[in-house]
Amino acid sequence: MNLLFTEEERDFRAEVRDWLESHRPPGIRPLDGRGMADYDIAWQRTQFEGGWAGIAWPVEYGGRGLTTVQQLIWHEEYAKAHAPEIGVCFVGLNHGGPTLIMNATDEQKRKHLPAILRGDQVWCQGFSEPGAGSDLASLRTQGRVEGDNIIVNGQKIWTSWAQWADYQELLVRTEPGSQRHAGLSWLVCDMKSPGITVRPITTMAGVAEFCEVFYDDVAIPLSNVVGGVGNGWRVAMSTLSFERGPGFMAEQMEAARLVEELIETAHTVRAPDGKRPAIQDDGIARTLGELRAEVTALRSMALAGISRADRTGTPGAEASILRLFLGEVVQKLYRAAMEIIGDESLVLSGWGQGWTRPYLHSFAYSMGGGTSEIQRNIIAERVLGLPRAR
Amino acid sequence: MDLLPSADQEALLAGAREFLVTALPVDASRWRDRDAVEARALKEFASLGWYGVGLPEPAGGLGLGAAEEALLLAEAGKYLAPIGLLAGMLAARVAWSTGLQDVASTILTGECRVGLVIPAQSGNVQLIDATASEQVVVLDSSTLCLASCSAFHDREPQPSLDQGVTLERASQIIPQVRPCESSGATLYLHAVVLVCALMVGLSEAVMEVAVAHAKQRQQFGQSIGVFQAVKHPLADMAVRAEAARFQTMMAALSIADARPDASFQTHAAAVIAGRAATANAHAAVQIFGAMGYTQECVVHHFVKRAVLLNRIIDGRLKQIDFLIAEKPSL
Repeated sequence: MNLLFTEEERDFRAEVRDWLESHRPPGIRPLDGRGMADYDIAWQRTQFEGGWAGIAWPVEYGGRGLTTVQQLIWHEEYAKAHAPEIGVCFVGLNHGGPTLIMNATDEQKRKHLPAILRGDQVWCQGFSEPGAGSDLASLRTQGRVEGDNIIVNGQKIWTSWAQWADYQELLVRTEPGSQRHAGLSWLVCDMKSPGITVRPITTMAGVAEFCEVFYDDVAIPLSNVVGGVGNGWRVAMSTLSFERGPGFMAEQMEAARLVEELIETAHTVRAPDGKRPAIQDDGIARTLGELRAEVTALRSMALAGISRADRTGTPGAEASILRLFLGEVVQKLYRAAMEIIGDESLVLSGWGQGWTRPYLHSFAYSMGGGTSEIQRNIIAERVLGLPRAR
Repeated sequence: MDLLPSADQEALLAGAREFLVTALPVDASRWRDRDAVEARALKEFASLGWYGVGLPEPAGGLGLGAAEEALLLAEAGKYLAPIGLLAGMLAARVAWSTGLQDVASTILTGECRVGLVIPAQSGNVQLIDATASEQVVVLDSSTLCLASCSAFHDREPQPSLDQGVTLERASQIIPQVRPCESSGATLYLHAVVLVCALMVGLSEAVMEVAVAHAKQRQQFGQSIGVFQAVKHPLADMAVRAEAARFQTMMAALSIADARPDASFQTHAAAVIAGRAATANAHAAVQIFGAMGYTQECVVHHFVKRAVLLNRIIDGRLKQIDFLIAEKPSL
């Protein structure tokens, strides 16, 4: 055990810091609409031109091929530089792209990987359905093989930023009558294909960040199947371990920054008795102290996760521990904020500002990427070895 | 940067486990004959060099650091190690840092048993496992000091919540006996992180006991571990244990490297590990159902030890107060 970085790692940190300082985009990221998508894409292009696109991708596919510790350093400096969130480029870089790297043909790779890195292709994910959320394997969207095409009919939901996406990683049932994990295929779906209807859904925080996607006889070439017809489940799961890992550090740092911001706020607003700053109220101070301890522990856990990934090559099921804990801490933070800020809690703040709109957004933390209930099942079954329900 | 044990540290831990599993069994045999079992173990800790793990070799120690101490105590915590182990390690450190080499060596060799003294209300103190000890470590948030048991003239036995220790109350040390003191803050943090390590082990062990029970216990025709009402509290125990372990290791490394945020990291560890120990023990009682409520089931020992360890570091609330008084470590 040690907390030391090598000299090369320290040099690397300086290089990252300098580059981010001089290249991070100016102004505030728009929080919805075409302007947001364009902003994200332009920032991706800047990173590509600077040689920082796909930091975790292998060099042979145009990535930077960083070690996990280097990725940690990148994300730490990224958060410190207040560089913008990855936004619409997330799925392409962190899920679709890596899935192609592990499973696609050379031609499929050539068509998509460089374009994802340059920001020329925005990807979205088509996995969840109205009847297949936590129980993803019960998905029913159908793909019928007809000649050189797969004809897709059905519906996907919770597809983040589908309205701005060029391509979708689409999981469909291609074997009629198949059950559960069998008979599925993973397709590259061109979002401009005839028969696709995208309906944005507005969240309780007031942003259309995800969509329903309807498929009405959408023809997708058989050559867009990745990993072979009928192997969709294996292909979809092959990159689960690629997600997050060092990227988690940016989220931890943001949570830690917010805790400190709330502590500062508690110095300026009044305590419930109206006579002194809120921070002098023991109950409030202890809630904040506990949050401070929790975000600090999150960082230690994230570092441990990186050490683990460094040894085994994957973050393992323990990644669910981080995800679950982060969600709990962030929700606790915003719920505390709503009590501390008093009458301000009635005023809807701007997106990414203040406490009230982020409070509404924080409900997503125990749902996105697998609900807290599913994370607990994963921890219990894969970390603790408890039996599965039949 | 690596938060997992190195190969050398793993080897150290493997040896420790082999010893602990036979020396300090966590079952009925242990408490039937606690005094003899633990007295023997406390002697053997000396021959294994545990009391001086973190002291330099010329001082009779093993020349390792706070990280190794924390790793070893996390193992020992799983076996509800006698408080004399913690007290002995702290006493050896205080004696060494105040230049009392002869006192240090009697502790390192196991000749001198050490108890623990913590502040209590209205100027009194509580003595933990001091009945069979010659020396005590007085653990106060501003200073750590070493005193002879004879420094307390009005010791009065009290019934101990934790059957694994003896408890006495006394008024403050009689003034004519000068305790040997060592400069406070750093030693106190060192003490806190070692207690955190014990709580890490406790929270992991009580989780393992509960998981084993949930797998084996059958109701409604299946293991109760199948039910989410059982599975999910166990998953929450895993989250708390993981947070406690790595925050404690972070604190231990910060102390070992004398980092500026050592105090911040250590108080955070105390808050997190303190909760993991108590909350995991509480949850385990419920997993065992009515059996968990009895003395025939081992879980109650974990509940009681969690209370004791939290108390030794002045209680969780005090640790939260320390933490919120710190400057941000960003």
